[in-house]
Amino acid sequence: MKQVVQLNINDSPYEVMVAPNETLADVVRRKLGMTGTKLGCEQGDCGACTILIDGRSHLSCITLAVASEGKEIVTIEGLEKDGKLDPIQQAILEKQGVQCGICTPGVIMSAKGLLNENPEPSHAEIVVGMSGNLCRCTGYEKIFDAVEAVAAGEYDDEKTSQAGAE
Amino acid sequence: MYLPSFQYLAPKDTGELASLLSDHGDKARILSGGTDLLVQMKSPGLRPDFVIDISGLDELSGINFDAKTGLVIGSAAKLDDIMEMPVVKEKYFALWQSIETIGARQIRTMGSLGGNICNASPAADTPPALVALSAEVSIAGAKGDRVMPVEEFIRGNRQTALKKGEYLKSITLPVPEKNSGSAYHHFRVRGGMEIAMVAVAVQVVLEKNNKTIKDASIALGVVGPTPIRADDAAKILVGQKPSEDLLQTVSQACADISKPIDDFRASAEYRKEILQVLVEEAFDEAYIQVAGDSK
Amino acid sequence: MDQDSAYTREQIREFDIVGKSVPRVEGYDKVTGRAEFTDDIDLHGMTYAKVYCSPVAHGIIKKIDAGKAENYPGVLAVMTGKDCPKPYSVNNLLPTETALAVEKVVYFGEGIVAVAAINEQIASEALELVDVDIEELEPIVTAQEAENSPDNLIHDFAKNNTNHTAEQHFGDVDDALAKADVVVEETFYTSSVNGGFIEPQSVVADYDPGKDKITVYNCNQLPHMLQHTISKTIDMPVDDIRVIIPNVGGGFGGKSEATPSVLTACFLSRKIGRPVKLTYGRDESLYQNKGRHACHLSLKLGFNKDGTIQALDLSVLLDGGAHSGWGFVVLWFIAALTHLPYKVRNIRYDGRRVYTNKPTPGAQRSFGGVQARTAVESCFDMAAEKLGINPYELRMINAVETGYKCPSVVEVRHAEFKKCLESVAERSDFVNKWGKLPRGRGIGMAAGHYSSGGAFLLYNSSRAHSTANIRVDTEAGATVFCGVTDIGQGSTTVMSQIACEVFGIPMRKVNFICQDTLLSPMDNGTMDSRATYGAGHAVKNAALDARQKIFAVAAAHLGVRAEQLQCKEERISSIYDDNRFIGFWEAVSLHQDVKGTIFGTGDYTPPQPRGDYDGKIIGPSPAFGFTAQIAEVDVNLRTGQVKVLKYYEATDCGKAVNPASVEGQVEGGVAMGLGQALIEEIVVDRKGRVLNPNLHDYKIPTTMDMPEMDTVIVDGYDPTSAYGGKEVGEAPTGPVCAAIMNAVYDAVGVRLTELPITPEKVFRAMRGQHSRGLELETTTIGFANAKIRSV
Ligand SMILES: Cc1cc2nc3c(=O)[nH]c(=O)nc-3n(C[C@H](O)[C@H](O)[C@H](O)COP(=O)(O)OP(=O)(O)OC[C@H]3O[C@@H](n4cnc5c(N)ncnc54)[C@H](O)[C@@H]3O)c2cc1C
Ligand code: FES
Ligand code: FES
Repeated sequence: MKQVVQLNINDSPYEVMVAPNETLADVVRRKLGMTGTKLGCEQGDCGACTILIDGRSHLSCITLAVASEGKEIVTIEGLEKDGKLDPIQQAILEKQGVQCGICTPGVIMSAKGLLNENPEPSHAEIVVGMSGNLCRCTGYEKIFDAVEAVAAGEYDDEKTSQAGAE
Repeated sequence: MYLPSFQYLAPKDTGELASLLSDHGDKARILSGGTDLLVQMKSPGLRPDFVIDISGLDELSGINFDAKTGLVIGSAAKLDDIMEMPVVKEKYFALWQSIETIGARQIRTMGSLGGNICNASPAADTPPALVALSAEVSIAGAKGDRVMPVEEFIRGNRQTALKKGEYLKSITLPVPEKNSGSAYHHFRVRGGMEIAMVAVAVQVVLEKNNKTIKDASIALGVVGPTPIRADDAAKILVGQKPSEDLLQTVSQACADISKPIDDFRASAEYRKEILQVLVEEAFDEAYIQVAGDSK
Repeated sequence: MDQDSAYTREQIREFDIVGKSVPRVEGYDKVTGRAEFTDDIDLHGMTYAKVYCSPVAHGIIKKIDAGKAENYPGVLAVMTGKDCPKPYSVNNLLPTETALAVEKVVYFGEGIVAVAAINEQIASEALELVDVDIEELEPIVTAQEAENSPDNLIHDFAKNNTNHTAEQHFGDVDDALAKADVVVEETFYTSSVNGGFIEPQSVVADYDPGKDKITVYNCNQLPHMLQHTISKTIDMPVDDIRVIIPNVGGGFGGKSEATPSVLTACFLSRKIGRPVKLTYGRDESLYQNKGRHACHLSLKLGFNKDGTIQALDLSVLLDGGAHSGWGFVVLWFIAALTHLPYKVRNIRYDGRRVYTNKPTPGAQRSFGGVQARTAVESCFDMAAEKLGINPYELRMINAVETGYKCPSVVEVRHAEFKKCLESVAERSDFVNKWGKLPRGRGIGMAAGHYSSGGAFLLYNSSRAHSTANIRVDTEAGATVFCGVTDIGQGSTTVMSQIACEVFGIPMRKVNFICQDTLLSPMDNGTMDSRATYGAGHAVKNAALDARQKIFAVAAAHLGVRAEQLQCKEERISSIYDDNRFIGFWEAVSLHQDVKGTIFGTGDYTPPQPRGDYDGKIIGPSPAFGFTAQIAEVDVNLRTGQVKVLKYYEATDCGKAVNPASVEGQVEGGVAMGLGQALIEEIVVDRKGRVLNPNLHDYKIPTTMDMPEMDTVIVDGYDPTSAYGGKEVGEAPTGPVCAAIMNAVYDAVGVRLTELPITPEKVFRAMRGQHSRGLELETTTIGFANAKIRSV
């Protein structure tokens, strides 16, 4: 039976008709058109669908949308504020922690969750903390670099959000 | 990959939970973190008509330590929250280690201890640790609560002692005796996001001299359909001071009672070999926690 | 031909944008979730298709009953193999693959019925109502079985299940081996692995009944080849098919063929006149595979006492799975790759590729390279030990240099391979560590190379391999139209850098239009590491062509000869007097006033070496990238588990147009090799069923599997290339398995010859036991299709 669900996503209220068997990933991607959240396996194994629920990293492919009412949900679309990238987005972009980009939203949301829990993770903590996100392109080195740079405060008052290459 | 259709129910309290369970019986499944349930429902086979979400029930999410009763963990308590309690790392190190190895951060944020136990997978990480730490579960049902050790609760591959209308309420770990230590060691092929191929949890209690073993328990994981309590092997340790020979006898005794499977991941024979290594390593780590560095 | 004669070598070293680690031009979209991948596409009237996958690996389809599915509310069309029966293959070589199985099923998970419905759920539910009767045949699950089952043929035309054979002989191998001082000989098995791209294949086919044309969105590396495959199978003229490649979530070669889903979606879309989306689940993606060929190799190497290599004798048996795929190329490529990176003159190759009832492999990153390097580099270490020469020295003695001509027509026009060897050896202190680390610790070396695009490509070789057009005007800046496909490797960024360099303008002034057969000129696509080199040439030539036209205007305006002009910082000035200048855009505007918008065009086709021998079209390349690698490992003496502690790599990719991207290619390439070395393998049971069709059991490396990496790009500049750059996408993956195997040998004295090196294999080898083969009858895994009636 479908029901109307109030979802708080990226600080905005959304009223959506959902069936109980719809995952949060399906709802944000198909119903709300926020396709930044990616699907690589749909069974918890790859982390591409990682989003934040109440500040912590969750896998949206195995989270029910109906169970997400009343929670604060943040997807990749919610990080950029007023055209300004979040430090972790900026770092991934500049350090080339992104190649094909399919894992990237999940990687960023996972790193965000990690930094929420532990703002200054050591290299070893980053390695463990990011182990739920598979990336086939980068070999992870540049993702580590980016998270480390953010943890070290390198992107603290990042003003530039320009995609610009120069 | 769509989930099959079902009706979603979110009880407000355990009273409502109990009545929903008694109403729907076998047609219902409890949803806690969903990291097992929803994955299984995406593959053919498991198709409950009702899914009853307990993740919002505070009554089932508490984690409390009391110097008398021990550590009481609500069945829906999240794995991450359990790990973050300092007392868990301090007094129940094997449990802490067994949680730390589960999946990845996202899985630990979402998954619950109750789910890990009730799912009753032979490869689950926490059950061996819970068994070695002599944990008991409280089962709630229409006819009142029942309490039993974890090893009795897990009956077989994906089978528990839960009867129709019952649910797992909490897990209680007794206060460890003085001079005790514990450890959980597992073997896996991939560095992360990996289930164990073999696992061992050990708890040891030492005499006041911090050398002689007063008591010990050993639980073997993934080498049978359920965790195996290796009591006879553990008894060999009691009254002894550890030595290489002694440990080899113990680990051999563990291998002898283990019944690992033979599949594409590894042969049964190899799993037994690994089991012995893990028994010795886990014992060493538990022992060192109490005795310091020297055997 | 490089027309850019104004640049001297010295000037070239101070490029403005080439050589800088410019962030990805599409990076902003990727880090914000804006970047659109195929499955993200939502078209008006979209419908969704799902495929019923075969629960058996080999069988005859007796009956398909899809009546109930057809009548299920919300279902728009049902399709079976008979609806679209034309077989296809890469370049039409032994075509056997079809959109859906026709009469016979030849691999587990093969599509049998497809359903299009108004949403995915209805399509999935309808599939459950489909009833298929299959008479199971004995599946063939090993290459040896395939060759020894004359009465059990997977495809009727293929005697002994042989797909292709290859033979080559240069020099006199028997004589050279007889005269050699030291001969080493070993057999190897390299496993079947999958590309493991995180984006499962997806397609949207959008037939336009008004125009009778179709637009296909698909994550594919070779849009122009895809067009031809679609044209042939669904009977539409090529120019009525527009292929658009959205962002591709990793390809690694696995997306360089049409998946059956593309043809299925096209057929269904034409049938119902609405767009159809078909996205594979991870299980289907693994059944379709097109990953690396499993390969049995038997290798002999002969050396003289001084360490010089005398002969190489290799025979291989490739497990080809159910279809041809890129198998023909892989088979010959292994032959070609054994000629380098060492100076060996007597070479014999004997290769066979056979059909089995397994997922079809294809051309995965460093295809042919992993197989060849695993055997050759292991045998090099075996020889080093026999000769009493350090493995590093032995490689140095035999390493190729610039100008080397192989006994085949293959010529190495530029090589800094020795620098690579020196660099890793020095950084890791290899010579002092090798053979001297405590038991359980080991260090191992391996090396390799790869081509930067074939001189001949299997398809469309007769045409220009790459073409680029550039439009320059003040309304849109410089807009490059180019057929190269960015699958994550960064070609869009690199091509933009090349165009910027020619014009002396910033990156933001360049637009890059690619991956659309309607807009981008013909290109042979992203494969064989040809993008930077091949398409890079075309883009540079197009930019020079446009620039010449702008220079003509500027020259007249400034009173300076056009040859004496330069472009820098959006200014065109005299190379002798920087004060005589005109703004770049001002000059463009002047041109527009008189002659309109500027168009430049350029193309590239590699030199075509001649020679007459079997397999001559596979191997020659205008440039080769080189790599040298060293692994330091820890082997647990009790469990056999191998942990790679540190990994050193040195790359010769000529001039790194974008150094951070080059490092990214190396790091990702090494990670892929490490996965194959230790944890990855598609496991198939006796019945041909894939036992691990998910990312839990098909294990690609996680963050926790990676060693500390130390990579270096050695100094180099390939003068034959657009800006000195050549391939780096594939070479680094080739030698990884061998480096780790050599390190394990150094650590515990046992030589592993079979991938992946699981703890159990090492454990058994340390105990002198054989590892067990394929003996799997039953399984504990739940099948995606277990619900489907298996006969
Ligand atoms: C990618 C991935 C990696 C994983 N890695 C590991 C690993 O390394 N080690 C490991 O042990 N596990 C692993 N798991 C399995 C899983 O995450 C754990 O078992 C987790 O603890 C399950 O908790 P949950 O709350 O999500 O359970 P759920 O999925 O909600 O429930 C599991 C089962 O228990 C039942 N149940 C839950 N709570 C109760 C209750 N109170 N009373 C009665 N029945 C109940 C449910 O009905 C269901 O059948 C992994 C899972 C995934 C997806
Ligand atoms: S898509 Fe959710 S974890 Fe892979
Ligand atoms: S960038 Fe391609 S998978 Fe991570």
